[in-house]
Amino acid sequence: MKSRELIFHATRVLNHIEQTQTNSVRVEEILAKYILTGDSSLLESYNKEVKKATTHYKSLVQLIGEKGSLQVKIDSFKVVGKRKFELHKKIMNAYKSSRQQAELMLNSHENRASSDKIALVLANMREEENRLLTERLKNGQIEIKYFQATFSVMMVFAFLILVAVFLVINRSFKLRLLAEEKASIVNQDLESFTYSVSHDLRAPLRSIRGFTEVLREEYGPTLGQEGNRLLSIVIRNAGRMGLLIDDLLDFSRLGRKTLTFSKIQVRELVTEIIQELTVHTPREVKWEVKHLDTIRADANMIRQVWINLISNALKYTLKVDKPVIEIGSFPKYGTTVYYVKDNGVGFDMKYSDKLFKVFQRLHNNQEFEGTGVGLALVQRIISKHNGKIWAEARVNEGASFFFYLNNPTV
Amino acid sequence: MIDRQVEILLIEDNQDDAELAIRALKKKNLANKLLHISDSEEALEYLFGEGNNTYPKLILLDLKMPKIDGIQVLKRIKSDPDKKVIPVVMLTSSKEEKDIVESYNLGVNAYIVKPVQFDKFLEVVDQLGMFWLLINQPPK
Repeated sequence: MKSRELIFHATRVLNHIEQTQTNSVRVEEILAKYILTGDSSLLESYNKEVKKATTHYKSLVQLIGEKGSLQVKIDSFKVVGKRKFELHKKIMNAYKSSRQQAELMLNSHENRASSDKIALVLANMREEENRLLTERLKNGQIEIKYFQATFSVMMVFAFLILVAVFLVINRSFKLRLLAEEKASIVNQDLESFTYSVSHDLRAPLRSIRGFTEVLREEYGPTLGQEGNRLLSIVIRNAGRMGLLIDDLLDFSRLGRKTLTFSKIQVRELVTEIIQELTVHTPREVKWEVKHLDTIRADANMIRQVWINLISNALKYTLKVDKPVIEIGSFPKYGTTVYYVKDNGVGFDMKYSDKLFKVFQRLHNNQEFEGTGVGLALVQRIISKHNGKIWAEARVNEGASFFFYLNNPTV
Repeated sequence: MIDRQVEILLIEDNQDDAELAIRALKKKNLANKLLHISDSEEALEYLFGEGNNTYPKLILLDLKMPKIDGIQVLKRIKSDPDKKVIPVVMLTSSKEEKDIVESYNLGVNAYIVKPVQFDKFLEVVDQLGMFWLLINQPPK
């Protein structure tokens, strides 16, 4: 028990002892009055007081219950109380026949001694309770002191832990700052690198291509057929290098870009892209655009994904008699999987690990033009969206590309 | 007296790029009154030198140049109360976002990425000349 509760408990015990004392004195007084006056209404008061005393006694029994030393004293109270009650009964019985006899009995040594005993027992109880309280308070104080000591030690520990945590955090924070600084330097290097690439590499290339074209235009007729063929090769390759530089720059720029998410109507987007890709090169392609869930993604980037996948499907069905391209989506892995399926030349699955790597191609440039950046770009975009892309294909039986983004579809 | 002797002022340090641009302009009959200055310092002297009152109809400005780059030349032109009316078209090798943004913030009139293919470059130069020399009405 806490000291506050201890004090409260003791106060209640002491209060009941006091009340019992008062009641027993009052009982004695009322009886004396009754014997003197014979007023029968006093008997009622007498019974009331006895009842009160009994109630206080019972409360004391309840409160003291577990306390050994007081328990003994309350038992003696029970004995002396009972003895007193019996004496009073005898006096009342005697009163019925002789008032004088009753008066004698009331003032008798036996009755007085009985009252004294009650007072003594109650006084003892009071004393004992006080002693117990003091003792317990002392113990309580020791407990409090012990608690305070423990608490202080714990506080010191907590403080030490805090200091340690602070030092660790501070250290890792400094390390992180350093790493961030390094990363930012790397990023800046990369940025200035791509910047110079985009400037300095394109400028000489422009001259090569430009002047070769001028040469062909102004001196073409005098160079003969072979001379013109060779010029075409230079022009074509300069153009291809231009494309490579542009694609590579797009690819490296992607790393620095942050995503801006929005809800995208994939069906509308796909229909629009198909139109854009086929408007200048009319071909007989059977388009099967199935249901397409809306998606939450970076609009520009996801557009690039669809452009690359659809133009790939177009490219690799070029040599097929009846090209069919199917585009759709289905629910799987708790998200939506989108796919582009063609019946084109396909590829051997044993090379599938090279499919999404930069500058890696499964077809040579004579067969199909390309820089080997398209699918790498697609994969980079999809992994930036915490998604996944994979392919299923067979040589000459077409290819299917599947992807999902980790953002739940909307 | 406002000097309109020069219609197009080409500020370009790369001789090859300049030649290609001039060829393209010639092909479209737009190079009759063209002046090419390959040094940006010189170009500023030409525009802002004492006693000079030249107002070309169009300035074609390369972005990346040694000493004073295109952005600084642009800044100088667009902060001049008189010369800021001259249309300036930025010609550049790259489509770097920050260059485009900076140029427009400084009040560039157009921003063109020089294409690698010469035929496309011809197209661009043609459209440029047509617009700025024939269609656009400069303030008197």
